[in-house]
Amino acid sequence: MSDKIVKGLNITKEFNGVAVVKNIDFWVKKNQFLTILGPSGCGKTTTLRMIAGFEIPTSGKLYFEGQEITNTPPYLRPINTVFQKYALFPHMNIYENIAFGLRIKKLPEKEIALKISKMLELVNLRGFEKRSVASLSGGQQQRIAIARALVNEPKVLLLDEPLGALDLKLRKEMQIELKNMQKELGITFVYVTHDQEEALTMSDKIIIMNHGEIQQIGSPTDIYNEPENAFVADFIGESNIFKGTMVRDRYVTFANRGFDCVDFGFAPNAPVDVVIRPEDVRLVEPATGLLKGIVKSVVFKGVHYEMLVNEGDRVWMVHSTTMVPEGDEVGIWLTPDDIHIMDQEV
Amino acid sequence: MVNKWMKRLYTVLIFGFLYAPIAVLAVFSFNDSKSTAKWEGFTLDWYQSLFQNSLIMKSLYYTVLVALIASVVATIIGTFAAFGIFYMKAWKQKVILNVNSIPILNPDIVTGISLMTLFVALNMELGLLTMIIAHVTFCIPYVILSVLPKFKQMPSEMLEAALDLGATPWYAFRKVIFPEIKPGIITGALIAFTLSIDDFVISFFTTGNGVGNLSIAIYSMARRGIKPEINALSTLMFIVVLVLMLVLNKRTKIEEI
Repeated sequence: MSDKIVKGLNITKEFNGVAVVKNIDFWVKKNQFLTILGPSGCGKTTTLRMIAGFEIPTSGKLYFEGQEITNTPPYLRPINTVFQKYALFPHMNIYENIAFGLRIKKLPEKEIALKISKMLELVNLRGFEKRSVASLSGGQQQRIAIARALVNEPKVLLLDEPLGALDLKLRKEMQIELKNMQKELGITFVYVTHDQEEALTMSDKIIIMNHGEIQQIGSPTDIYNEPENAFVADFIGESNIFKGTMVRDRYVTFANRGFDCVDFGFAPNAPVDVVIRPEDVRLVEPATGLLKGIVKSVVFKGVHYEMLVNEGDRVWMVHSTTMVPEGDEVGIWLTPDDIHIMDQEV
Repeated sequence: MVNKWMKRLYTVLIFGFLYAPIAVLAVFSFNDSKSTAKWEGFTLDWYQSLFQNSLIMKSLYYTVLVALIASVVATIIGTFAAFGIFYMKAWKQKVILNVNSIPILNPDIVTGISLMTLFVALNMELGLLTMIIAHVTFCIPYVILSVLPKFKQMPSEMLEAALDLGATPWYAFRKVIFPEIKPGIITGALIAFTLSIDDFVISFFTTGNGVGNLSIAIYSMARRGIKPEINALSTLMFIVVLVLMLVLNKRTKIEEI
C-alpha cells in the first residue's frame, strides 16, 4: 500500500476521435490539496470528470486505493464532486439537498439531522435548513454545494472551478475557507481551475496541463521558481521570454551579448528559451547596466509599477516598487540566478 | 370612435361565428320538443334519456376507458422518449423531433387509415385493443413536446450531481429528474386525455366489434336523424373538454410564473 489515493496510468480520452487528454500519468496523495491548472480546453475538467466517473477513459487505467476503478459508475465511487454551477436540487430545501447522499446510505434521521447542522456550521450557514435554493445568493449556494458533498465524508473531494462564478472579494475569502476546511477535515482535494493565483494560494501540489498533456507537476514554489518550459513560465505569472543560445554550461547568449547563468546540461550551442521574471529585472543607471533601454510605458499596479522597456528589438516587462518616468534611458541589470534556461518549445 | 365600435363589432362577429352553433346546440338540448327549430319550453328530459340510453352509456364507458389507458401509456412512453431525446447529440435530436412532428401535422384520416391497414396486415382483430393502440400512437408526440422543454429547463449537471452522491440512475430519475419535469408530464397527460376523448376519425377506422366511443355513437345516431339527445350529449362533451382546456391553461400560466 502506498499513500497514493488516486492514480491514473496512460490515461487518454477522445471525443469523436479527437484526443482531449493525451496519455497522462498522475497521482494524488492522501490528504493532499492537488490543483489541476491550465487554460480552457486543456483537458483539466475532462480529467476531473474521469476521476468522478462521468467519463470513461478511451484507454488507460484509473486506480483508487490500489483498486482499479476505470469503469466503476460514479455512484459506487467514494468520491464526491462540487460542480461549477453548484447543481443543487431546486425542488428540495437546503436540508433535503444536504441529506440526499445520507438518505441513500439509509442513515437514521437523528444522525442525518446532526450531521447537517454540523455541516451548516462548517460552511457558516447555520439555520438555513428550511430555506429554498432559489432564496440563496451564489456564494451561499456554493457553500451548500460544498456541504452537500462533504457531509458524505468522501475520501476524495473533486472541485470543478467552484469559485468561478463568485466576485473577487468573495473568491479570496472562499479560497482561504476551502483551504482551512481541507486541513481541518483531512480530506484529499482535487481542484480544477484556470486561475494561476488561486492554484498557487491553495495547493500542496499543482499539475499544469496544456493541449491535453501534463506540462509540469510540482509544488507551487517549484513551479513558480523552476518552470520546466516557457509555457509554464508564461502561464504561472508573467515572464519575459527571449530566444537564446546555450553556448556552454552556465553561459548563454541572448540580446546580443553573453550572460553567466546557473543552468547546465544542454548540448553546446543548443537553441533555448531564456525566461526572466519581471520582478527579477533591476533597473539601474544606463552606464552601470548590462543592457540599455528606453522606458516605453508605466502602469501603477498597487503594490508595484509595471514598466515596459524597449531594448534593441525586444520589450522587457519590469515590476518594481520604484518608478522610472516614461521616455528615460535606463540600464538593465540581471544576476545569474535571475536567468532561467528552458528547452525551446517545438 | 367609429374605429372603436368597428373593433368591437368585429370581435363580436368572430365570436358569434365561432360559438353560435355551440350555443344553439346547448339551448336546444333543453328544448321540450323534438324540433330543432322552435323553442317550446325548458326540460331536462333529454339529459335523463341520455343516461338511460344503453348505447350511449356503453360508448361513454369506452371513451373514458380508452382515454385513461391511452393517456397513461402515452405519457409513460413519451416521458422516457423525451428523457432519451434530451441526452442525444444535437443533430440526432433534431432528426427525431422532426420525425416526431410528422404525426401531429399528418391529417387524421391518413393516420387512421394507415393504422387500420397496419392492424389488418398484422391480422389483428379491430376492436378495443386496436383503438387503444391507435390513441397511444397519436398522443405520444404531444407528450414528448410537452415534457422535453422541462428537461431543457433543468439546471445542468443535475443527473451527474445525483449519481455523484451515490444515487443509482433509477433512484436519480425518481428523486431528482422526475420532480423537475412533473409539470410537463401532467400537462402532457391532460393533452393526451383531451385528444383521446375528442377523437373521431382515427377511432372510426381503428375500432370494430361493437366497440365505439362517444364520437362514433353520435355519428351513427345522427345518420338516423338529429335527436335532441345528441344535442345534450354534445353539450356535455363540450363542457368536459372546455373544463380540461381551462385546467390546462391555468397550469401553463402557473408554470410561466
